[in-house]
Amino acid sequence: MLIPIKWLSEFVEIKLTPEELGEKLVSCGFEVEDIKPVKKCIQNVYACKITNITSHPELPSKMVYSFSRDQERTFTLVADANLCGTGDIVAVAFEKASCTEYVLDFVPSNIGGILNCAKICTGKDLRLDDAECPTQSANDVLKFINVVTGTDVKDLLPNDDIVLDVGITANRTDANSIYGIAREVAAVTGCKLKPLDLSYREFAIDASKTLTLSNEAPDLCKRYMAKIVANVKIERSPKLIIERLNAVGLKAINNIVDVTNYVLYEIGQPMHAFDLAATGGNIVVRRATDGEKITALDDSEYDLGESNLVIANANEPMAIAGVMGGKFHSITDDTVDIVFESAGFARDNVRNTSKALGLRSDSSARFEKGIDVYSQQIGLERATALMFKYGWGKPAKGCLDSREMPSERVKIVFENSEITNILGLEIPKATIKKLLNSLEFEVSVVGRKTIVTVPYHREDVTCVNDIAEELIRLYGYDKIPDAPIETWRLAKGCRSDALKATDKLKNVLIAKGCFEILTYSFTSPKVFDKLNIAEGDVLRNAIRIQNPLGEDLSIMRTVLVDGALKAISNNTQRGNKECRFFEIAKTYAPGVSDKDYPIEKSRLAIVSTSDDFYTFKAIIEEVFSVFNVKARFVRDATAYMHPGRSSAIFDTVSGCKIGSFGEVSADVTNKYEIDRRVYFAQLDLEHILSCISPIIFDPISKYPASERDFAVVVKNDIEVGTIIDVVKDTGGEFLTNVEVFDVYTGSQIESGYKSVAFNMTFRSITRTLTDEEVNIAMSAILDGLTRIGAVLR
Amino acid sequence: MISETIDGIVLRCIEETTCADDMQKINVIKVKYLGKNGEITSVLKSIKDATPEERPKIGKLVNDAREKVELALSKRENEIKEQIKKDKLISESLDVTLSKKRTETGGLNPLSIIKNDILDIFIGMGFEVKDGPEIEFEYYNFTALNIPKDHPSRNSSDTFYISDDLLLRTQTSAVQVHVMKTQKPPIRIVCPGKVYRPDDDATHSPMFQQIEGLVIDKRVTLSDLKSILDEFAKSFFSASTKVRFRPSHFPFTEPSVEVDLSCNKCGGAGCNLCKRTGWIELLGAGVVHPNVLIECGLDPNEYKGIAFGIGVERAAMIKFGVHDMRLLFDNDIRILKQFR
Repeated sequence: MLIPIKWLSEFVEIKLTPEELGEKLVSCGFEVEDIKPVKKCIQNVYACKITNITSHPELPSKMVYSFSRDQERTFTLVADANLCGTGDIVAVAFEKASCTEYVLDFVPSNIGGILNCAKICTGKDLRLDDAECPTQSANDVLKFINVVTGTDVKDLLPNDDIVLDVGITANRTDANSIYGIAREVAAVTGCKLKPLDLSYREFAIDASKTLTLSNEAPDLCKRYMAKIVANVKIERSPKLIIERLNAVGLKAINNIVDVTNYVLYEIGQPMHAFDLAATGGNIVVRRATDGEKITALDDSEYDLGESNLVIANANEPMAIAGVMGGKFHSITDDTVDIVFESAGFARDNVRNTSKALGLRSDSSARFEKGIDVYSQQIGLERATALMFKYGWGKPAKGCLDSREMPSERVKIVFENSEITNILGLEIPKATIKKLLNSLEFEVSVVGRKTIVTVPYHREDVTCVNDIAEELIRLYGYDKIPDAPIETWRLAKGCRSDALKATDKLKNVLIAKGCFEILTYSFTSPKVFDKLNIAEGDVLRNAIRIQNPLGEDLSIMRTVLVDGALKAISNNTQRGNKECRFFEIAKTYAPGVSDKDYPIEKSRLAIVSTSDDFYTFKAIIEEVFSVFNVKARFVRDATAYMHPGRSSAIFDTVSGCKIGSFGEVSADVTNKYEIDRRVYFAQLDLEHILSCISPIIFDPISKYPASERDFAVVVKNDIEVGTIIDVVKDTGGEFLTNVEVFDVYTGSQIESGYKSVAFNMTFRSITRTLTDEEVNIAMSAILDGLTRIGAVLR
Repeated sequence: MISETIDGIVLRCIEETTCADDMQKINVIKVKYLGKNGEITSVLKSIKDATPEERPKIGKLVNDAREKVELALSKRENEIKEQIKKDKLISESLDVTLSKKRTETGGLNPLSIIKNDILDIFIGMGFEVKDGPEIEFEYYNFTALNIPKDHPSRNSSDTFYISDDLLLRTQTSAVQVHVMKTQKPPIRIVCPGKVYRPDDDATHSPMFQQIEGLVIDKRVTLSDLKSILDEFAKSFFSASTKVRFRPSHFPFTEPSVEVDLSCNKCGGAGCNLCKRTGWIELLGAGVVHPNVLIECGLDPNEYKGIAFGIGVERAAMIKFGVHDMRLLFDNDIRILKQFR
């Protein structure tokens, strides 16, 4: 909200510099985003140096003034004698020069053979007051001293005003106006708030000029007021209004439109003016019917429907309520009588209509913030008063008001101790009364109770906490002590078990060289095709966002692989070839029904370009080892994986699938523009964390271990996992570890076969094992292996 | 006569031993003189031809000779072994300035580091860590938090919707409601988590992380809030950091405040980081609105609450001097490595 200080000071005396004023506003809850000067609205007028003055060859009363616009360009103009002397720097208006939106009536011409391409200006020509001119009087030619020729005149004149750009929080709908801010400034500086000029005389007007009002949608329009101003004069607004509108960034149109805009900024009440003749004497506030159309003031036609509120006459819509007037029912040059509309439309309906139609206006923007029911009356009276003050029309007697009964003002009853219990500091009784009074709250005290009556414009104040806030923001937040907390009991703070376990997991992964990444929870529905996930696969059943930032961020992810590959792609394309990342994040799936929470499952993703299949698998196995996860790796063909290098992972206890890993297929990595082999794993985080059990000390054996090595030859299609399973199953109670240390195929081995070499460790906790005991175990293992076709090498 | 022979043998043997330069030669010498048929052994063998009177003399001469030879041999042997060790060490010397590719240690994401730092501070003050769903019902995200049906924050321009009822939570405050409805006061919780809003620029990401704090007790005040946040500011930045409250507005707290911390970079004198104000806006906070307490089944006359919400990304940007929030989601390993 732009607040011009001159306009503000019409309502409250400002003794502060703009910066001090800004600080005061910040201290009471209004952010000041910027403080900037408003320059005079003068175009195409420059300070130019007169270089030569000669008599006009044909016209004895005129002189020819030569002047330089800059170092290179010299021009001539024809004017009366004695306006200025050679060497003077004066204001010169060129073609299309204008000030405060008045175009100066100057056109270049040829006067008696001399080119007259500019005009020397007085202060008055530029509509300046005496005080604004560097010269004595506004009647004199504007002269400047020590100025570079060609400087824009508006940079040499005093600023029109200074505006503060003030941020207004959503609750303070009342403060979205000059007067609203003036009220705050008065309260926070202790100055008096001056009343608005709402005075006007009413006239008896032609009895035929009547108006009826019917509000058929009180849910969308809580109050509608209308007043006739008859016999209006349509003309330009005076300088004061134009300058003020300019200062808040508005263009002046004509006095009627300007008055509605002026009131919008001054009071915060959007206004509209209809041509009384176009209303046909009827104003109906109603929902549009489906298929109804309106041509708005922006010359576009809009299709309306049930959800749009309109202001109609007996036949057709005249305005889209709160958004924009209709072209054929608004003010024209031929308008004789006008009807001012001052209404309170529901903010969500205005917002929805404005959004649906793609049509925004100052009015809709204001309505979206919310407006109290009292503003309609003030707005209507203020607009009427301005029309009367400037003699632009005759206010008719009375006005139409859809609201039947004025509502009761809110009363809040509290004890001062309640304020202390909220703030943690005690504000003296008398101060409480003084501060609340300064904000127009009425305060009475009955015994220990304080009764506060809230002014109409403060619809945000409804309970004692609101009162506490009003008090502390004026009293000063800096007075709140940050005393040590005395009232607290000792409490136990801690990380949850899940958080502790997650931290442990992250530490393992970090030690294995993985960096933690963070990728978006939403992604594109196209990823399923990109990842070769089949039509009808359950992974395609993703939650859709109704209003995504873009199609690429429109579904909640069902797998983490897409984010991981994007991170790898970003890195490899920037030359960071070696990456090993992990991410702990959720995947999302629709809930059982609309009334249920969707299913959010935490997952661990690991992705690497720095590993081969087995070193990558070793990272996963290390995680399982630390977390005591008992897992089986089973060949599998995950859609986006290399079919020969892809494994599903099952929990050996429950048999449930707990993840998968493998080499991402080249087909997929190509689509992500990655030119290296990528290994990826996605694991069920909750399962891993659930395997953690309290650590119980397991005594270590004092007796030496026996180690045995051997190699067997098996068919190529027998997986090492199968062999290890047999060894473990048949190895007996003393077998503590089996490790494969070599897998060999080549000239020494028949083709179609491979040699697998193992190391086995046998150990007892109670004694040293005899050779015989180990031999018995070994032969049992060999028997087992023979059954799967293995031959001792 | 025989003593001369023995002396001659010993002299030759010692000479050869001195010249020997490896263990093989030493062994040859050992065999040559001390072996079964060695020269010294042979002299001993000849004892049988001597007279009984001469025998002990010869025996002693031979033993003396043997000791002399063995001593010389073992001395030389040690010298050679020492030399071998020395040679081996010399041959094994490496260029210590050369490095080989190492397995690097990974690292936490900077946002996790900041999140942990913040959580630890509050855990130290007796807060418990809680979490909640990211896809939330509008009731928990808005209605129960006193956000009216027509409030702008419910706009589709400010909230991602899944359906009319379901949305991506816009604030971790939603967790407050779950906790208040299920846990008896006193409550002292911090709730970290991802939240979502439709913004995307240098200072906004559509997905970001917040840490919500909530205290519910019989008597907690705005002054307690200031003390907690003062403690937080001092721990998070430095012992000289100061806290300033500015009035603000959030529907679920009343009074509501924006909390500024004195700029850690310039100490309040004014710099680029604090836009020359000396203060950095870091979080929003306030006294829990009585409507929220009532909605969650708590009597506002019995219980009071204070709450605060910290943006993790913003905290990270300030602490680490990151100017563009998008860099925190960039996942470039060159960035990640800086935070190990």
